[in-house]
Amino acid sequence: MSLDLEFEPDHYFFDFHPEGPTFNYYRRQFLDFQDRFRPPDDPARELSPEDSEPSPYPSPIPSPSPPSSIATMDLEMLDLGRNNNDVPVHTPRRRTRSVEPSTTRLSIHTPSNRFFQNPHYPHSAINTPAAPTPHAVAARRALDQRRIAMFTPGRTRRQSFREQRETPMSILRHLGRALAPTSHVIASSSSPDKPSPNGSGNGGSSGSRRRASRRADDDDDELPIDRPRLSLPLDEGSSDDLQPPQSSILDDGNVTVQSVELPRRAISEGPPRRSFGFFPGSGDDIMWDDIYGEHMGSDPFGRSIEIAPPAPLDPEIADLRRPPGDRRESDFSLDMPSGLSDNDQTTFYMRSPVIDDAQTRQAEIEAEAETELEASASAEESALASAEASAEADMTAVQQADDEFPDYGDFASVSSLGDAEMEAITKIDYETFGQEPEKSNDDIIGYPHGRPKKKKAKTSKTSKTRISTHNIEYPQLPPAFVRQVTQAAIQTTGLINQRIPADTLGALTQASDWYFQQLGDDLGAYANHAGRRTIEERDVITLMNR
Amino acid sequence: MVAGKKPYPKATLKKIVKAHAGMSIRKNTDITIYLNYVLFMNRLVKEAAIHAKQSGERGLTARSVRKATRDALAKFKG
Repeated sequence: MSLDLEFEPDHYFFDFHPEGPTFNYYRRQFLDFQDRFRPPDDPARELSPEDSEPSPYPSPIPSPSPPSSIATMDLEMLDLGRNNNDVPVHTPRRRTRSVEPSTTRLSIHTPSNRFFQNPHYPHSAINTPAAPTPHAVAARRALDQRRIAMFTPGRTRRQSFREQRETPMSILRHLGRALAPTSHVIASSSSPDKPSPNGSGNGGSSGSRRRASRRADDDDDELPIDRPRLSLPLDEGSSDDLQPPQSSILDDGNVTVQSVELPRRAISEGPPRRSFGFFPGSGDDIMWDDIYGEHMGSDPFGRSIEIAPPAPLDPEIADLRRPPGDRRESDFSLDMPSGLSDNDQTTFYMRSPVIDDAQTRQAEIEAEAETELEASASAEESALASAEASAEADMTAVQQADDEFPDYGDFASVSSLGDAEMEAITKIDYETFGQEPEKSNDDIIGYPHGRPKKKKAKTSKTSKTRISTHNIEYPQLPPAFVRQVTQAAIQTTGLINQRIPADTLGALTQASDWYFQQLGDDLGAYANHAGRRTIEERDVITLMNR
Repeated sequence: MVAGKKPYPKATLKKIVKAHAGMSIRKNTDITIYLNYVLFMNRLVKEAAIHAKQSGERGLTARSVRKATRDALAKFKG
């Protein structure tokens, strides 16, 4: 560790960097290192006059990282050959540090000879410690990355500040900053005059013109229609003032009505769609005005139309807004039970003319069963007859209540049914309803609850047993048996895919049914021909020989 | 003696045939009927497999079975 540094800079024959740092700089650095790693018993070096000379370069960071790789050496050599008149920006040391990731390990190395530059040959390969091969560089980089990965908090990152770190709003804000660093508020492109809420303050030229044109066509005394606003009022207050979108139908605080989807009419049935060119200024606005009356100025809920353009742009929605008095007569309609006032409408029928008869019959049966169920809940089984009577009395009441239905079908004929039939109907319904506990005392009127279930039960019952031509019930052939026989038969066919899909099994079962029907007919004919009343084995053999 | 798997649902078969024929059947006749049924199904599946192969299907499909049903039934008609 003893280097003889008694030399004069002037004797240096190799000026390695014309505009670079002077030799004194390197010497001073070297002396600093020597001071730092001087053994304690070594006497301190006396200052030379060159040490008081101010260094033209900032003192380097005390942890040294010598030029250690071939790549950095190349860079320095490139820097050497540069011929610019500027003050050199980089010292070789700093360049080295920027290229290679600085590791703290280098600073704790015991300084040895090879870490110091030979001042005589400052950039020769002698100075560099054995230049790392690319593999060594890669290995060191891998070590660094591993350490970084070890100290980087991954999943265990603090969760408490996560809210501050990434809220959707902040993400959006960052995105906005990135996308539009300089943006301005867009000026509204709509008309500058604000539409007044009650539609009285609009004295615009277009309104008067429209009024004039309408007066030319026919004399409707209608309120002037204010001009629709076709854009959002961005310039009137902040964006917090934007009202939430509201339903265009039935917004009177009735929660149950909101959950009901009202029927819509086909677009083709309504007045012609006028989404484009809403106010051409000609006289055909009148169609809408006729329909909606004085609707345009303020809609029937007293809300001023400010954000949304006048709602009946769409005939589908507009149709629902029509007052119920002038409702057009259509095939599908919405029927309310008459006992209820309009405010507490909870149920309704969707009624079509095709299935109307069946529906009314069904509803009548339902009501009957309900009343009977109530009666039976109160009374004993022995009082069933009286309950029956009361059920009939109730039925007439129901009939009166249901009188609102315009087309009744054969409702009147039902009331004139015989007692036996009536009893049969009520009995069937009573049984089916008695099996459903959730049906017990439902006060929802009208919607037939148990109907699908009842049908299902009937179909399952018929799928189990069928009736032959001789009026004898017979069970269906079990599909598992059909599958078993088919599986045995399919082995001989040499098919690759020997699976039997469900629809194939259905077809096979159908074929088996037909087969047995044909077989039974033939065997019966044979036995009958032989004058017997039983089928014998020889009948079957005769059939097989055929 | 371990009761093995039933070869065929004897009671169901007898009920079906009795219902279709309108008369009762003798003691062991249902075995022969079962044999006839197995022959019928063999034939049906074979025809259906031929149909399926002709139309380029890999397995037994319902369409091929329906096509083969009529012929097989005609073959087994008395």
